[in-house]
Amino acid sequence: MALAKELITRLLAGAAVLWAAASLAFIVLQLLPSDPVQVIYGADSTVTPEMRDRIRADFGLDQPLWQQYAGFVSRTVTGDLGTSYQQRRTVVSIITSELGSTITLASLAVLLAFSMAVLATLATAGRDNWLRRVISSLELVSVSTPAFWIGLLLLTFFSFQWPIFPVVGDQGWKSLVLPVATLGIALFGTLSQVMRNEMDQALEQPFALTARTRGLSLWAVRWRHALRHALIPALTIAAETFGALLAGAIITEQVFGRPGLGRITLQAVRNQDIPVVLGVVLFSAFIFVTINIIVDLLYRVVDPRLRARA
Amino acid sequence: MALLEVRDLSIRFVGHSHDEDVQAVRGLSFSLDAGECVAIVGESGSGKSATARALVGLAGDNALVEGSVSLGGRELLKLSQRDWLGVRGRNIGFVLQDALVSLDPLRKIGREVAETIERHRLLPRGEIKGRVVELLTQVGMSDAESRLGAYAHQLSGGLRQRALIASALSGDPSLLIADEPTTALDMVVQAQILKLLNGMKQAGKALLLISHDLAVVAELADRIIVMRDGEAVESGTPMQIFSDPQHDYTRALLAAIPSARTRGLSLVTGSGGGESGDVSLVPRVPVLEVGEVVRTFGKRAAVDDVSLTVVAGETLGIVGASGSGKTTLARLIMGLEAPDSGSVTLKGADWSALHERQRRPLRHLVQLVSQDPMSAFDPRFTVERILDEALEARGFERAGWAERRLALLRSVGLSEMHLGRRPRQLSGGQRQRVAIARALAMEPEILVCDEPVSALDVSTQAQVLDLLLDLKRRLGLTIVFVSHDLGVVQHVSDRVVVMNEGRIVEEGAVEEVLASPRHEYTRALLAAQPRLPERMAG
Repeated sequence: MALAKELITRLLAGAAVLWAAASLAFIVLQLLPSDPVQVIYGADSTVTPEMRDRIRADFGLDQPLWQQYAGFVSRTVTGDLGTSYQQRRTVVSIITSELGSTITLASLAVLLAFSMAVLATLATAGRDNWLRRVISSLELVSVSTPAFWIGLLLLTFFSFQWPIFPVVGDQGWKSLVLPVATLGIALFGTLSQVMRNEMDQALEQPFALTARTRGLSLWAVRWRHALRHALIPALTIAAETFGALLAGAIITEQVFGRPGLGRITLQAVRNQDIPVVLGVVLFSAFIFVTINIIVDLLYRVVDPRLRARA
Repeated sequence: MALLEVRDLSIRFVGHSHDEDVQAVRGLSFSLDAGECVAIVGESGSGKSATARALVGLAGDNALVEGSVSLGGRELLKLSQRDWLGVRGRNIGFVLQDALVSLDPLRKIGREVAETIERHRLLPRGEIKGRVVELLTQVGMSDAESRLGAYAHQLSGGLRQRALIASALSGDPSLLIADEPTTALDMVVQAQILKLLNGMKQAGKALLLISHDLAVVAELADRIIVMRDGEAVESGTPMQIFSDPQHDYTRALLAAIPSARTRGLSLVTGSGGGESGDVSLVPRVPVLEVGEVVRTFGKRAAVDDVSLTVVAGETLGIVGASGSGKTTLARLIMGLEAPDSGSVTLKGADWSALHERQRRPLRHLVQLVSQDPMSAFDPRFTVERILDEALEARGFERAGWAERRLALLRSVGLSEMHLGRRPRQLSGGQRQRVAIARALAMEPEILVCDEPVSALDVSTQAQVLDLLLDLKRRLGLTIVFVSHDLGVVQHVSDRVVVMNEGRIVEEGAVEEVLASPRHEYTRALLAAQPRLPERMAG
């Protein structure tokens, strides 16, 4: 009962966030000094006044602003994000055609980072030895190096020096390896640092001592008890990052010349293709709201104390 | 040969340099047989917990353990890490204090209790659940099967501690070590847990009990070892220890146990602490009145139709089990909680009815000393800043702060060398002294003490209680003293109210209420009080 109530509240709040994001994006784009007709026809072509009026009518640009806004909101609610000025395709079809590639990239990257972080944490939490110092340094490098630089380094070695993986493009799993590694390595540092910090704290707790008095090895205490404690902050970070990657692994996608949401966003912004920009903004907001709701539900799975409090 | 033979045990914690080494235990020897209980008693830092941990090989990576510990003829200190794993849980069960944090909060009770059985593969998978239910029932958990899926935070303190004991018993160890098993519990529950441990002893377990409180172990132990600074200063049967203590430190520990007999005496020196200021001679001026106050949380009335009067210069004890509403009552008195109905008046004027803005100028009159001063201070503040904050709030001229700070510290038995310390660098007793100094900085008339000594060991508790009574005499303070510990309340209070389930079930002068309790609940509280052999004899 409490859960249902909580869920409804969260959904309503999510809807409010989406509406706010849509409105804000709409307002900002109205303020841009660009002429949609020029965008639609290209800057070079000359357009007669008649044609201009027809185009404006086609895209609903002749209506007063508030009507445009109302139309935009009501269409959005039904899942219609409008038509691209440039590609003459619906925004929804543009996003969905690129989405698969981005989701694959983001999921694999988060998975990779998460696995590395779990291994690093299990191997080093509650210890003070050379391995911990080595891994801590690697984390620091990961945190402080920009993703595109990691990508360029990987390309230099694994595509140019030793041509194991393709340089650019989308050629099956082989072309996924380097981009996934790039994002995974970039994310690993933060995730691992936070998880180990949490696990260190858990291992200091009396329950860890109790577990050891039952005959569990230090490894087993980490694996069976402390890891779960470390999952809570890890979940937060991994989810945030997953959302951020979906909405814009722009630089990485550019470095590796991959298709994806990042690329179409960049194109749309450069070309002032307003419906696509709006669509991407809305889509990102939607992703973040959804992920947040899912993560909040997952917290309850991981930490039973949160179930009681709601 | 006894089941457990400890010979010449020494534990040294190795620091970064030789100077930082700490000799935690020196030359400790004792033996313990099946069906027997040995208690190690001492204040914090005496080496008692380090001893307990060394016996399961968990004294820590930086601990150098020497001597001999043999269990059933097997030398434990020479075991490899791998062999230790087979001993822990299987041959030695370990119970820590405060089961809320000693059980993994993210795992179900059933799984925690099953862990030893799974780890040592004592039973086939299918039979584990049945055994866990059996164990939980054995430690007195009713309806055990339905509680398998509960988490630690969903159980009461007593049930949690029972589950923890069940988990220690699950490998059927011959030796059970209990490190402060009742410290986090209120008196009634403590009595139940001690009874349970006694049952384990009767059933043939060897029991090693660690405690700071002689009174707690008196009924259970066959032999008591008193430890101080890593050494056993005295050992003997409870009768010997209580009736004929040989060592000064043992005598001090015994004198430090607050009770009805110690009223008006210093717990540290055992002598009279000056004129006790008989309250009956002082004109009875009501300074605080609580009238028919009700405060509910959700559907539960935490404080249910409570009325009481506090007279200027007296100490009113509020006693009750956890959940009896005494802390909520203290918060109502502080004006931190608004009553749903009824009223609190301070010096004859509205208090609970005031708007916060009107109450703020008067707040200094009622000050709080809480249970855990560690969490009542900003950990980054120095003592100086902690006191300055209070002095500033009271509106003292900055020029006079330095002088006042020193006067305050001296009045609570600290000195200027403590000014630069942070809470973490102070001992528990020193922290509580700083908390009292901060309260005094506000020049209060009423000091509300909410379990001010329950986080302290007996000897520190004695010092803090002495200090409170001394301040009361010197400054004419009125004290509202909330505690679950009947002995402490008897020692400090002039009058006492007994609370149960949000209501006052009994009220009156301490001697009367506790000598002839009328209410059933008061009698239960009195029965739960640990009995000392001396009194049993006399």
